Amino acid sequence: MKTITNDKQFKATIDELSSLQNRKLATLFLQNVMGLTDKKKYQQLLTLASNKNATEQEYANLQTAIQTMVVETNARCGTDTDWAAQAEHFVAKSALSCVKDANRSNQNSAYDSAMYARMACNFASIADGKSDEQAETQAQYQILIQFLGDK
Amino acid sequence: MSNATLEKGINSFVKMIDAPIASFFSSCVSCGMCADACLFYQETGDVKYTPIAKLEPLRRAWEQEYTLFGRLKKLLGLSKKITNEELKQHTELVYNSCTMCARCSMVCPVGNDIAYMIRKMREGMAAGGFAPAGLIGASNRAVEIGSPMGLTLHALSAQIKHAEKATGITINLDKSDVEYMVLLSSMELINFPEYLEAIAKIFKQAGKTWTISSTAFEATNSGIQIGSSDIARILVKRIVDSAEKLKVKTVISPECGHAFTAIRYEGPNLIGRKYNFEVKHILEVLDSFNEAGLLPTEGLEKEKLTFHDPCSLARKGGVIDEPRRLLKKVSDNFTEMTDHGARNWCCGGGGGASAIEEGEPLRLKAFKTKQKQIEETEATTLVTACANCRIVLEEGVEHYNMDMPIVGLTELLAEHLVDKPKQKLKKEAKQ
Ligand code: SF4
Ligand code: SF4
Repeated sequence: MKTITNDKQFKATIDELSSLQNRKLATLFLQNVMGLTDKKKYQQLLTLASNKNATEQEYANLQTAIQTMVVETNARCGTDTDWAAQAEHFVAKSALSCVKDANRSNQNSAYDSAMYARMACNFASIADGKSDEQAETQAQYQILIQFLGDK
Repeated sequence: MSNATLEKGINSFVKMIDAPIASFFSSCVSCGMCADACLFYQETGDVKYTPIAKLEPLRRAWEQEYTLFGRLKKLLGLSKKITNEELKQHTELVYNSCTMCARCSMVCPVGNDIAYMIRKMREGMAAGGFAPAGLIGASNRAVEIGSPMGLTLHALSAQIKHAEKATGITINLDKSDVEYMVLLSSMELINFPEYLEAIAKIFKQAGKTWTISSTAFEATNSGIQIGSSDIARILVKRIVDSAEKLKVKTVISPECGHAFTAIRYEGPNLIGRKYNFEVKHILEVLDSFNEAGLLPTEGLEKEKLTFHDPCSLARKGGVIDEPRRLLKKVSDNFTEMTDHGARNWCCGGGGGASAIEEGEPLRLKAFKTKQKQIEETEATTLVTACANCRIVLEEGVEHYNMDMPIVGLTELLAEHLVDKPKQKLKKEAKQ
C-alpha cells in the first residue's frame, strides 16, 4: 500500500489521477469537513456524486447553485468578520471544486478541494480554537491512500 | 440630526474649499464629459448620479461663501440653504454611487480633479455625521483593532501558520533589517489566503528577505474611504513607524487599489514628511524581479485571459505596463478590454462603496458596463490585482450568470513559478 506523508507526495499522486477520479476524490475531501457547515446544503451534490450515470449537464446546473453559495458567503470589504461563516465559505469553495467542468483545462479539483477544506478548518480554529488543520491534513492523506486502494 | 451637527458639516465643507476646489467650480464649462465617464450615470441615466450633481452641496457652500454674487444672495436671503435632508440624500450620492475611480477627473477638458473634490466632500459629510454606518464601523475597527474587518494578530498568526504549512516556508513577523515589509489587506487574508502563500514562494525563489509587522500589517486605509484625514493619518503613521523601526528598505502594498495610493501618494502629505523607505505595489516589485531574472516561470495558461485594471492602481497609480509584462510570461492568449489601463471602467465597488450593504442593487446595475467589456473580449478567465475588485467582480459575474473564473495575478504567477536553485537563476540572469 502506498504511503503519503507530505504534501509533495500528496500533490504528485493527485496529479496522476484522471479528471473524473479527481472529482470523486474532491467530494471525499469535502465530505470530511461537512461538520463545519449545514450538510443539507450539499445533499444534492452528495447524491449526484454517488450516481455513476450523472451527466456533465447535471454538474453544470449544480455549479451555478454552489457558485451562488460561494459568492453569498464572501466576506465583504469592511465588514466585521464572522470566522465560523468564513469557514463555511471555504467549505463552499471546496464544494465548487467538486462540480467544476471535468473537461475544462487547468483543473486540479481534488487538490483544490483539499486545500479549501484545510482553509475551512483554519478559519474554524480562529472561531472556536478547537478545529485542527494539521489533523485535517493527515486525514486527507489517509483518504487518498484509501481511495487509491479502492480504485 | 441636530442643527449644531448640520452646522458642523456645512462649516467643514467651507473649510474644505481650498484653491483647487475654488478653481474647479469657477472653471467648469458644464460640458458634461465627466457625466459620460461615470459608470453610475452611464448605467442608470439618472442625472443625480452625474459627478457634478454629487458635488452640489459643496458647490453651493463655495458660492455662498466665496463669490460676491453668492454672498449677496445669501445676505438677501435668496440663496438655497443646505439642509439636513439634502445631506442625508447625498450620503447615497457621495458614498454608494461614487467609487472615487477618477474616470471623471481624467476626461475633464479643463483639468478638474472631481474625484479629489468628492474626497473633500466626504470629509465634510463625515464631520457632519452623514457617513454610512458600514464605513463608520470599518474605520473604528481599523483604529481599534488594526483591521477594518476585525482581523486580530491571533487571526493573522493562524493565517501565517497555514501558509507556512502549505508552502514549507517560514514567514517572519517583525524581523528587522530585511529588504521588504509586506503589507496585506484583510480582504485578501480572509477571502484569498492563497496570496500570502504566493508571496512566500516568490520571495523565496527570488532570494529576497521580507517580513510582516505585527502592529502594522493592514494596508487598507478606511480613513481615506470614509473621508477622515485624522483616521487616515493614524493608519499611515502606524505603517511608517513600523517600517522605520524595522529598518526596511521598501514597503510593499498588496493587491489592493486604494491601499496603494493611500500609502504611496497620500501618506507623506498626511504625516507632513517624506518616508525613509520606498513604497511599491506588489506588481511593481514582481516586475522588477522579472527584469532581474528572478521570476522564472514555466508553462502557459490554456484559457484566454483578460485583465481588469483596478482604478487606483492604473489610473491613479500609473501601474499599467507591469501587469501586462507579467501576464505575457504566463499567457500567449491575452486580450485587452476595449477601455483598459488608464481608461478602464471601475468594477463598481471601489472607494469603500463595496462596504455599503444597501448600495448593492446600484452596484450590480453599474456592473453592466464591466459585464459588456468582459463579454466583448470572449476571454474565459479574468485576472485582476485587487482583492476588493475581485470580490465585486465575483458578485457581478455571478449575478449576470457569466461563467468566468477570476484570479489574482500574484497567485497566477506563483502557480507557474519554476522551482530552481538560486545560484542557477543568478547565472542565467547574467547571461
Ligand atoms: S470618481 Fe468615478 S464613480 Fe465617482 S463621480 Fe467620478 S467617474 Fe463617477
Ligand atoms: S468634465 Fe469638467 S468642465 Fe465638463 S462638466 Fe465635468 S467638471 Fe465641468
